[in-house]
Formats: sequence, C-alpha cells, structure tokens
Amino acid sequence: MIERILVAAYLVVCILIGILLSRRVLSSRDEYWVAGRRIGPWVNAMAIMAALASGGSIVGVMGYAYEAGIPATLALFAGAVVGFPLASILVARPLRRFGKFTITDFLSWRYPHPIVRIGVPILIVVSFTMYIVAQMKAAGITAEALLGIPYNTSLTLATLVFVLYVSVGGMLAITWTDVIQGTLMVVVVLGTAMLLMARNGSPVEIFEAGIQAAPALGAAGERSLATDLGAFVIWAAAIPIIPHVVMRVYTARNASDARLSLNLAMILYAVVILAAVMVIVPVGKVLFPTLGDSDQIFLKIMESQFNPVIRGLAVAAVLAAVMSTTDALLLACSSAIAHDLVANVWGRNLSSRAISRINIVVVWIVGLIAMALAYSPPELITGYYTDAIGALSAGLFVPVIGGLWWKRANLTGGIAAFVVGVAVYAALVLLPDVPKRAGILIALPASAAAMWLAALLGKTETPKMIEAVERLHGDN
Amino acid sequence: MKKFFPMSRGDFCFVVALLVLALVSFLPWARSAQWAGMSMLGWMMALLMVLSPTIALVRVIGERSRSASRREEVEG
Repeated sequence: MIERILVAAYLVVCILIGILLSRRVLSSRDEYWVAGRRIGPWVNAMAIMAALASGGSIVGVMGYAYEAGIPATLALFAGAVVGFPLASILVARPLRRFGKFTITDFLSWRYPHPIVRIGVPILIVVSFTMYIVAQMKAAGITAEALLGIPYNTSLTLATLVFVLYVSVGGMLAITWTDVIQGTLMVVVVLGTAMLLMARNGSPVEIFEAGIQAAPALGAAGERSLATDLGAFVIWAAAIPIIPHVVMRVYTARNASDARLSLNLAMILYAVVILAAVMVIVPVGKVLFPTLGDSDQIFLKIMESQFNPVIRGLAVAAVLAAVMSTTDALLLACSSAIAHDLVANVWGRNLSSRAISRINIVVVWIVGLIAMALAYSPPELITGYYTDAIGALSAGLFVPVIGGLWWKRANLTGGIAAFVVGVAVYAALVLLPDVPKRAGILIALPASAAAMWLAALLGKTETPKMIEAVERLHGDN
Repeated sequence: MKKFFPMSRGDFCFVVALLVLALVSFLPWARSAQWAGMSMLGWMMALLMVLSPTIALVRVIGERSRSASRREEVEG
C-alpha cells in the first residue's frame, strides 16, 4: 500500500507540473521546445543526465550486466560517457550559437534538400519509437514486480501519465520533472548500493563475492569483439547527435553553459552506472544466480532486501528513469513531426498555437503506438534500444560532424553520408551472420567515405556557407 | 584554405587521447588478460568512465575562469 501511495504521489506531481506550465509554454515555440533558452548549467546537467539515464540505465544496465557480464556492459555505457566530451567539444558550442530547435534544423540548413528535411525526422521518429517501447517495458515490469499491478495495466497507466504532461508542458515541464526524476534516480541507485555495502561489506568484498559466485560476470565472454566495440561506438557517436540531448544544448543560456552542463551530467551518469554494475549486480548474482529474465535483477533485489518504503521509492525511481527519457524522446519525436515536417516542410505559416496543437496530437499518437508495441515487449531492453540508436548514429554522425568541421562538406556529401549510413546499417542489422551491433563499425566508415567521395564529385560549397559555419565556431 | 575549421589544441589533444585510450581498451589482449577476476576490458572501460568526465570538467571550468578573467580585464 505504501509503495502505491508513494508512486501515485510522484505521478500526480509530474502531471501538476505539466498542467501548471502549459499556459506559459503553449504560446511560444521557444518556450515549448527549448524552455525559453534560459536553463542554468546545474539544472540542465541534471535534466541531461535524467534524459539519458533511462529505464535502460537502471533496470536495463543491471539486466545487461547480469546476462552479458560487467566488461560488455561497461563497454556499452562507457561509449555514452565518452560521447559527452565529444558532444561538448564537437557540437555544443557551434550548435548553441546556431540557436534553433532541433538537429534537423541544422542539417536542413547545412544540406538544404528534401531528403534531409524529410528523411532525418522520419529516422528520428522510427528510431525513438523503438527506444520508447524499451522504456515502457521497464515501467511495466517494475510496477508488476513491486506493486503487483499487471504488466499491461501498469504500462497503460504510465503511458497516459507521461504523455499527458509532455503534451501540455513541453520542454519546461520536462526540465523540471527531469530534475526531480534525476535526483530520485541518483538517490535510489546510490542509496541501494550503500545499503547493500552496509550489509554485505566493502565494494571490493561485494565484487569479489560476485565474481566468485559467477566468474562469467567478470569475463569478456563469448561475444565477438565487434559486438562490444560496436555498442561502444554506437553510443559514443550518438551522444553528439541524439536529438533529445541536442535539444538540451539549445535550452542552455549560452555555449559555455551548454558545455558545462554536458560535462556535469556525464559525471553523474558515470557514477550511477558504476554503482549499479560494480555493487548492485554482484549482490544480485549471489542472491539470484539463475534468473530467467535478466532485466528483473534489480527488482528481485528490492523485493527481497528492502522494506515497502524503499521499494516504493525504487518503483518511483525506475518510473522516473523511464519517464525522464521517454518524455524527452516524445518531445524530440513531436518536434521532428510538428516542427521539422509540418512547419518547415509543409506549412511555414502556421501559428505557434497551431503548431502546439499539432504537437499535442503527435505526442499522443507516438505514445499510443509505442504503448501498443510494448504489449509484446523485446527480450533484453538495452540491446534492443541500442540497435535503434545505432541507426541514428549511422545516419547523422558524419553529416553533423562533417558539416560543422569539414570545409569541403557540401550538399551532395551530406546527403550521401546520411543515405549510405542508414542503408548500410539497416542492411547489416538485417543480415543474420553479422554480430549484433557490429554493423555500426562498417556503416560509419561507409558514411564517411560516401561524404568524402560525393563532396569531391559535387559542387564546391559556397563561400557564404563556409563563412556562416565559421561564425558558428567563433574564436575557437 | 585549410580543410577543417580550427579546433583548440587542448580540445584536439583531449579527443585524440580519449580515442586512443578507447582503442587500446578494445585490443585483443584486454579481453583475455584479467585482474581481480575481471578482464582488462572492463577495468579500462571503468577507468575511461571516471577519467573522461573528470578531465573534461576540469578543462571546461578552467576555460570559464579564463574567460571571466579576460572579461574583467577588458571591463577594468
């Protein structure tokens, strides 16, 4: 009962924030999508961390470590951590100076062609819908395991709550709910790790006991090197271009604040992941050596080791992790459709209020489609959404970085890099003999080679565009 | 005309160092060699997760304080 009251209170707070902020944000696109561009570095850092630390980072990271071992898990999540300095150095400053709303805004300006204007938002929506499905599974199994609410019911309830507050509250609501959610996540994961240490000994003793009980936990395992490297590269390349992180760069007050918040977020994220993998998972492996569904490990520990109040907080934290990512993904999807497609491609004269209404409809449609897909959830959520993010990395990394840093990048090069990256990645994911997540190791070089070759064959970029990009770099 | 837009030397060295450390971590030796029950791949990744945010944060804070002092000098 106490668990349900805690979770209900938390959900009500999220909805209230969305409703309270709705009047303010629905009147302006700047307010709705980038929170008026006045979010300070500490708040933005917590929001970035919460947006990235998804259900995958609490339920999924532990499930992945339990199943695939700690080295493979750290390889995957270290990719995201390394991606933050890359984002901070390669994109934060020029994109913040560019000053629009979405990654598509930049790409459509740099490579003005319908393939980019239409193809990029569609890729974002498809990829993020898969990402949202994985988050919803995390919400569903958590509420089922710890609150006793059936999976489908909890899935439906969770979806309704976060779709409601995102659709009316926009980026400002997301920022403030993310701050609450990020804090809750950090407190619960670090608190759980500390309580387990108090009961089971130092981190070294816990780690040794886990390795002794299951030596495979510390081994690099039977997977190919290409799978681990592929997972690392997918996330390292994704962070600088992934829309819900890039939108956070636009919410910062200036370029310097954007860089600071990215780096602060990265530290918080690394601490949460390391505590989960190096302390909580080894304890779980000792207590539950033969779980059928690896994603259940954190929930099993909470159920067996802690009282109802802590269990309630844990459910709220997992829901927070799921919601903080899903809300950001939903907003990125809605901006991809309402802003990138409807406003910029099909109807430039729509009022802010009309765009906001379209946006609300889009959030509901994407949320409900993802919910319908999540009724038959994927087996291991971290692998599933990493595959989806791989498509974004393959298609967008080279055009964005090339467009910002390479003076010879031109229209044909940008289009070629986008199309070849996505096509090669999709083909390799569908081929049965290619190791999981290894496709990115071929797709990224193919995208870069396509950009280089097409840039040489295409028209040289105009001096006006080169000067404009130079201005984005300022006095680097 | 140079082919690339200029990047500060410090940023460039940091990015290269990160990539080299990542590359070394994925060499075959790191998968087979173990320390304290875990393969070196795991330890190197953990090290990367601690080092990269810490160094990046120190660099950004240093940059902000240098900009602030420059602004003060100009205003003063």
